[in-house]
Amino acid sequence: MKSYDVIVIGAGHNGMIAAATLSRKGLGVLLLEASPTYGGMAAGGEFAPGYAGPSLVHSLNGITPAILKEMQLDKFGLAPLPTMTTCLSHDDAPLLVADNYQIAAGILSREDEVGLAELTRRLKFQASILQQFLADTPPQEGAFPFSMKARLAKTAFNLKRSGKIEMQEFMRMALMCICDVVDEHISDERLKGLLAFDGTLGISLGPRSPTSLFGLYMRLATRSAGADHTNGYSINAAGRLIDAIYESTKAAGVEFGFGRKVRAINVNNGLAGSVETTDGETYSAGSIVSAIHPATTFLSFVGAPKLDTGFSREISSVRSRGNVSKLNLVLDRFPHIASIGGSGEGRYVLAPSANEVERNFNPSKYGELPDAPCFEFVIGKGDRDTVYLSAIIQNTPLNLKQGWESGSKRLQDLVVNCLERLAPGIKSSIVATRFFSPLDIESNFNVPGGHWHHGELQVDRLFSLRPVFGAANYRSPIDNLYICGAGTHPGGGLSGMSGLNVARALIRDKGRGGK
Amino acid sequence: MAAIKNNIQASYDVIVIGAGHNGLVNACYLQRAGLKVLVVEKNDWIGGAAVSRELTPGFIYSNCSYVCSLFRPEIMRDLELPKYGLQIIGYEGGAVFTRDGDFLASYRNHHAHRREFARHNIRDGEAYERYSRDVTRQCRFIQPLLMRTAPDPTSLKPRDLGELMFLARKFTEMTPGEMAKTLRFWTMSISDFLDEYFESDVIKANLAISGIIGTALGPMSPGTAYVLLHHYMGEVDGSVGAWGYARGGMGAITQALTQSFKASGGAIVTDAEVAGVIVRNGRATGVTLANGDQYDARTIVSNADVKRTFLKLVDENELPGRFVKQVRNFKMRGSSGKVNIALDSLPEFPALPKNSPCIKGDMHFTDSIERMERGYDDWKAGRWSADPFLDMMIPTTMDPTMAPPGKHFMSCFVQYCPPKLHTGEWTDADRDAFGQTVINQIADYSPGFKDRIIHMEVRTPRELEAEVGLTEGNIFQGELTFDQLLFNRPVPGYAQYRSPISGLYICGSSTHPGGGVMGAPGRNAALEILHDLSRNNEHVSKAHEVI
Repeated sequence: MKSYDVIVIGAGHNGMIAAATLSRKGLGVLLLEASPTYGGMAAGGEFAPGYAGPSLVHSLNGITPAILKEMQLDKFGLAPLPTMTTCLSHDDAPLLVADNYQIAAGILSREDEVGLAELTRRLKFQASILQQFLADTPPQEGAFPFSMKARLAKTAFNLKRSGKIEMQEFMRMALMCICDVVDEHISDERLKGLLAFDGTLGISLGPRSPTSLFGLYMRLATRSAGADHTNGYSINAAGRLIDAIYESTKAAGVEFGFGRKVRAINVNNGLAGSVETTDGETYSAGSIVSAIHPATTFLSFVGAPKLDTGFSREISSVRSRGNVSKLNLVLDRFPHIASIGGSGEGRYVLAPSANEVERNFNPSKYGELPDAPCFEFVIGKGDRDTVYLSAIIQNTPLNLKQGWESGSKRLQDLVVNCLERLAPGIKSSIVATRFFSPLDIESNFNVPGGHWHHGELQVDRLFSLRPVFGAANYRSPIDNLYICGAGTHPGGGLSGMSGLNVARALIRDKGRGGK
Repeated sequence: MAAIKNNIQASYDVIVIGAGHNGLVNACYLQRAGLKVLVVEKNDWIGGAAVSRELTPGFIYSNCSYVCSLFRPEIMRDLELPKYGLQIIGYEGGAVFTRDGDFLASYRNHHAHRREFARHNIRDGEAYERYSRDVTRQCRFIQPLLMRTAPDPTSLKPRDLGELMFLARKFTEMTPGEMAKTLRFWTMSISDFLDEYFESDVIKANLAISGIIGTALGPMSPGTAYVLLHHYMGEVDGSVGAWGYARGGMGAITQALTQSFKASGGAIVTDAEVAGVIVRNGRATGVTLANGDQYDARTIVSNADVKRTFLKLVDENELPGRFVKQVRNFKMRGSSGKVNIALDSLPEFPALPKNSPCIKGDMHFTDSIERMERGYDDWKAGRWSADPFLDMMIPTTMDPTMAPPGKHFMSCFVQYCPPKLHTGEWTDADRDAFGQTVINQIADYSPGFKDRIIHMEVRTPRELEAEVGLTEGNIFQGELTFDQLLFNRPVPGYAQYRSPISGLYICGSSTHPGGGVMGAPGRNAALEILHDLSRNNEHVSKAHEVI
């Protein structure tokens, strides 16, 4: 039986960041990965059969400077990425929206320009309050450090200093729905549609659901916490970043075990001591860091009998039913979007109005597909002089009543027909296609429910409550077992903070040397 | 009428606009403090949305609110309402009928209730213990906040800081695990919350009811778990969470309040619609009526909702621009209608065993959360629910005073019903079609139901707004979402019953702690007014903890 200081399970970006950070502290780290390659959901591989490229991710959002430094990613060429979004609709003119919802002067009505300025200023301010907590380790029972109390006090003070009106507006708006907030400020349907889409993408809420504004806060906060040039839309940016993280992890001395699927984490007397893989190997370690879905970690690997009843009940109540599908199209030329008169690299969103996004959300509640899907797509240059169109389709529920066998075909047809309406001729330019339903994401990437965030990123599952109270500070009720990944604070995306935080927590617990 | 008018004098200490239950509670407390109080009511009857009306000979209709639980017992005692005829009869039973011909019964007895759950799903029977315990714990946290003025978190006044400390202390009295549960509870949808306990569709549908009644949200909308709490923190005769009928209809509450008010020397004038509040130099000095009469008082209290008060009764120029905008942004969305029916005989529900007590309580036909949520989707699209959710009662099964012998009054609360249709304003034909949708649903479960109908009244948000004065027909005078609760209710900065105009107060359900026939807003507002007038408030009991 091989023995290590630390075993990390899952070579997604968080797992690699945790492994590299620990290894650099002088610990012997083994990183076990079920699939034959690194990167998890952000992995490169096949964009479509026969065409190389990332399968799922087409944007970067907010790699923090701390991660860049820790992972020595300065060699990773950070170039500005396209951040412009083009809002499309079938009946309306397209609308160009820059990062942070800036729109060139003279396009919106005078009232909307004023309203939008106030709305974005307010959202940015409110998101900045939450942003201060993104990099933190959430407090837990018996672990409420002075630094956290001081930060809370400082936040309260800053809020107070911002003036009565801003303070009132923050406390009023924080848990509101997107529709009500945007309606109070602007009237342009396309812009409202974009805000509604952005705030609800990847979670099971509609823009009329109370608390949906939090989705926008999270998006704005993660982005503004990121280092320069770490936000934007590009087919290859995430893939290049993952490659850089992998190189850095290898250079840090981490031993990789690809194709080793974990079967169990052995727990004796409340102590995690070793990991068993499906090929029958057992690896022992002083500490185990699980960078995969919390439900897999606790319910499959540890097993409910080894857990407190209340805790395992909480873990099984983590809502993790994916709601997003992915469609990759390889085209032989750039599509000709009629309303623009062409197309270029960048992001396009089809969410004509906030009400349309809400209508889109309705059938997903009952396991049905929308009639007119809302989706975003990123266009970029692909392999061998092709053009890649990478689409993320909202509100496509995991538990589809008609089943994904027939549903996949139907949804693809819906999306492709929709694209054909926007860009006549696009159908005939398709040379290859790849589609992932939430069910496909579940089976291809070992993510229960195929949920991009490893569990709903909603207010009742944030910070100290993510994944559940009792395991939110990257530690778990099982000694020596640590968790990180999208299922923990600060959630999904590519920030990498949970990987760094779990490494720090482990080193703090085990003393300077970490052993 | 004439007798009442003789009492009127031109000048009063306080004028209360609107004789709803909160207006009357407020008036009672102020009158008992020795102030001279006049209540002006636009209708020729008293009670606002807590009324008993004989709309067809021999039948008394509770045609707006229809059951009682939330009315604070402290207020009942302070104002001696039982002495003036108020009697609340707790009811036993209730049922959700399922489409397969079965039913899920509700019983007041916890163990009987649990056994009924277990009949449908053995694990849900066990989960019910856990659920009841957790929800009671949440009630225990929230209940003490009802009878207190919400603190202004932006203020550094000792009183606001003290109240904030009280809130913080209440919160930190819990264990960290309970705090985590509370934070989640406040931000979850009732559907997600119930999923953490139960498996059976009909059980979840049954428990989700309290999460949606009166609100313009579906059971899958975050925030509805809190609405459930709002309906759970009442009591009947010390039995927490229980509901009952007011003997003689819901008007019995406002009638008793009126008697109590008059007994202490108060005056009421009906058929007196207020046209406007007179403001001089930023101070409210009186009201003018639609008929041209004028009454003067140094204190004006409005029981009308916040939009009606400040957008209709007060000249906009007298108010700060931001305040007007805040009031405009206040969400009042009618989501319900009412069908009130006089019946020739007691309807039969073949699913129920003979002589089942279930018929005495609240009955429903929505056996899954999905059906409720689809009803909400209709509402969002500007249609009344094709398959509506009904909260149906036959109070005459327990209270014989409301109908002739052998005959019955049935109250159906219907959700969802939008304030405006996608086709435009409501028409009489729309209203009748809406009523027919409800009747058809009942008839599906009760053969021969249609033949028993003697008289029927259908009320959509349009009627509720026109008759009771509730903007958009919202029964809570404003949505119970976080952005409109506690110090945000009705609007941030004015959550302590005062307004930008000195001497003008609001005391309706638009204020903390919100809707339901609770009386707490009226009482809390009275305390603030007495404080401002430096009057004695010893006759206003402090809230006592019950749970």
